Amino acid sequence: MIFKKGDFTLKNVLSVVVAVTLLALLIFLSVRVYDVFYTQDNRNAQSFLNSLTARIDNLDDGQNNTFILQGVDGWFVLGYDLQDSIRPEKCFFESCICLCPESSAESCQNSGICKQMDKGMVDVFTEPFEIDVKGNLAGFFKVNTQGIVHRACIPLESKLHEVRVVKEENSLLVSSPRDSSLGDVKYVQQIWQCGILSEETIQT
Amino acid sequence: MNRKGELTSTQIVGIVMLIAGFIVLLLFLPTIFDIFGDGGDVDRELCFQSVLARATARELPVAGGSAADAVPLRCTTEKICISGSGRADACEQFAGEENIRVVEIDFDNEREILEAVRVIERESANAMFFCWQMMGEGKLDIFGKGSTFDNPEPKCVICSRVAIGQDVPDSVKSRVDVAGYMEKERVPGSSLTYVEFLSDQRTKSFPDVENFEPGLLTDQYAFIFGQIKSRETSDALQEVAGGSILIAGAARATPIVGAVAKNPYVIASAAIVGIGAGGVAAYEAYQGQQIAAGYCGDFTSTAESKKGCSIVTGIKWDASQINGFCTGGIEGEL
Repeated sequence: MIFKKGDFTLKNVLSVVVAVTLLALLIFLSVRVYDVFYTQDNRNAQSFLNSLTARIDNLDDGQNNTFILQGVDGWFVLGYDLQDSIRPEKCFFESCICLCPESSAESCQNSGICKQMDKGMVDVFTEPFEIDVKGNLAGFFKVNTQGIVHRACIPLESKLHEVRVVKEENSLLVSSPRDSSLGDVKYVQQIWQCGILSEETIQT
Repeated sequence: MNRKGELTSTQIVGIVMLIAGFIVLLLFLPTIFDIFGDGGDVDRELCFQSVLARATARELPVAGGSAADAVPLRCTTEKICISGSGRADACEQFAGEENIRVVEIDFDNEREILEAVRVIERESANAMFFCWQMMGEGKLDIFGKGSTFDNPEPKCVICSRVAIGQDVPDSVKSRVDVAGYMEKERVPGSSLTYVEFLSDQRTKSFPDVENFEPGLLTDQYAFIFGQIKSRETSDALQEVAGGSILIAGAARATPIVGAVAKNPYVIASAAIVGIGAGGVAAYEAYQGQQIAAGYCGDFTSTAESKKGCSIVTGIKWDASQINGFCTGGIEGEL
């Protein structure tokens, strides 16, 4: 057989096949490496939200229960309903619960994950906790304040969190008691990022 | 005509097919495992591989091995429900959760009750054994030593949760003696008892089992692997000086010395360390050792405890108790 210039030889074809195969392998490995290194937090957040909503779904209206969930370090649980003027657009026209790297609707929209809830009112909050009477919040911040603080989100750490769910016909309350075993300084830094639901404090 | 050294087309096709086959295998391995293997085995294997990857990354001389922290542990907590009905909904502890392995027991007569007790003991002992094995038997440095000025804090992975169904009567629960079972029974595929295996064959003494004493069985336990490692003084000084040399973080299993007062069910192994001297970093390292000693002291001798340890333990499923034990945080997926 006579090969003309420009014809594909068996060698050419095999080279192309090898190149394509190696390229595919490279892409596959890159995706895997990206997956391993850069989306772990998102995966954990998704897992947290899935666990939480599965438990909420498991409750009937009028029921309540407390669950233990594993937190995602530095993330926040937030709730939005139709009464909130600033809310993530990804919630569309429904109430929703979000897990976000920062405590803001913007963060939820850009980097968080949200799940819609078919309840008119959704409230996610840290249960009211007392500020130290001596003015040392968690033994670190020297503030001369005492009283009760009630924050509108749940800061998370890579530990177990007790989450209380109260499910009514048209409302959903998701709250977390302040766990004294959580790292105090970090916790305070985080919870200060949460909006204030109510605060009864006296500056002295 | 082929020249010497030139690849023939058959050889090239062979190589291509080999590579393609390897890729296909890589892509479908988890699926193949899912179809033919036990789900628990696959999860344990995935976890073990990620533990190995993390420990290997820690040995790399890149940024002092700190890149290892970016390697996630693919460890998912196994949920085991032991119930009379053989249904997962008998364990309300797992309400709303998925992937529950159900173990059915019968308790209609004395013989069945004895067998049911044995099943609970075996599942608990195996949960501990698999946890220890999956996390590298205390021989791997999984969590590292923390940054220069951080005090070391124990980090954990929750390997499994064992729940007893609401339908299991007290006549069964009150007879469960996991500690006794582990002292007498042999590990699957081994001539060693659980205690011998977990304590590196050198001791038969077993820690007090406060939570596992017969009659005190609660409705759910978590089997947890924890590791704390104090910083070597020399290591601390190297880091302060900008050095990035990593001293291999291998650990060896050591015998448990004496009984454990606080926590049940503990197997410990001490990490290899040396002690340097002087300076702020050295002081920090010294402090770290005191903390490690405080954490591991119950499980090892005083000298060993300062170096840190790896522990596998069974704790009642309670957020405060578990967070109190794992103050450095929990990794893996619940």
